[in-house]
Amino acid sequence: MSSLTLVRAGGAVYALPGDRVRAVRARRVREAPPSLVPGAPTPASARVLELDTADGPRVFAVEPTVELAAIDDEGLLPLPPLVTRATPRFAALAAFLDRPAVLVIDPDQLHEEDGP
Amino acid sequence: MPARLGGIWFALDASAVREVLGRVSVTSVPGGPVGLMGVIPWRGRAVAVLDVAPMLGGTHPSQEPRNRTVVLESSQQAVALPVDGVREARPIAAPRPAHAVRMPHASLEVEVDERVMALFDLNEWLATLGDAA
Repeated sequence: MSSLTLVRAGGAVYALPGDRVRAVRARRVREAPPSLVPGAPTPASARVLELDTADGPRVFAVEPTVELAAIDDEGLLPLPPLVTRATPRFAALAAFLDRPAVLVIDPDQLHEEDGP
Repeated sequence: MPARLGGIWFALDASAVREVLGRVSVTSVPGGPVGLMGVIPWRGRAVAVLDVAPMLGGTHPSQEPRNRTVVLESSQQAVALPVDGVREARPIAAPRPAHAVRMPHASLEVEVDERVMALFDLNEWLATLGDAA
């Protein structure tokens, strides 16, 4: 069983490994974090996701709705090579029984150059 | 196996077809290659969903829901193609070089029920997408 943190960014929901999420908090004054998804608009009323990444702790803008979810490991489906080659930031597809599937982001594939 | 998108019929190699699903909910993949609509869960793995519409002249509205989803397995990987309709698979005469119908990734054509249609080459398309990715 894995724990996931579900966040909304750029109009879609994404999952992050729960043990890599340090906090979800209000954005501070003058703080301008990038969107979690390159190319997606940064939400104006954003919350901030503090995440442990391969480059150290980083913050990303996310929309206010944040949920926690648990999933069996069999529900974490590996992505096809066509997807992983183009977008290595996505680690798997989380297929739930009671809600639409969401992409799982690999925090270690979020690099500094991925900002907007 | 004949498949239809809008008013255009094309043929799929029935030996590659694994399942025909109904309408599916696709999870989009930001930053994916052109032609990739997203992914769906299928039999314990995630399968890429590809859009055939641009190959048919781009006149079909890509965002319009499609009633059928054909899952095919190539030598490389499984993919899903949303279409508007399919007909039963049937034996055909040997494919011939495409002449009457033109479609990217379809160098052959077949005749089904007196209708000539392009025979879609999934492996060639996947190779192109792989290069683009």
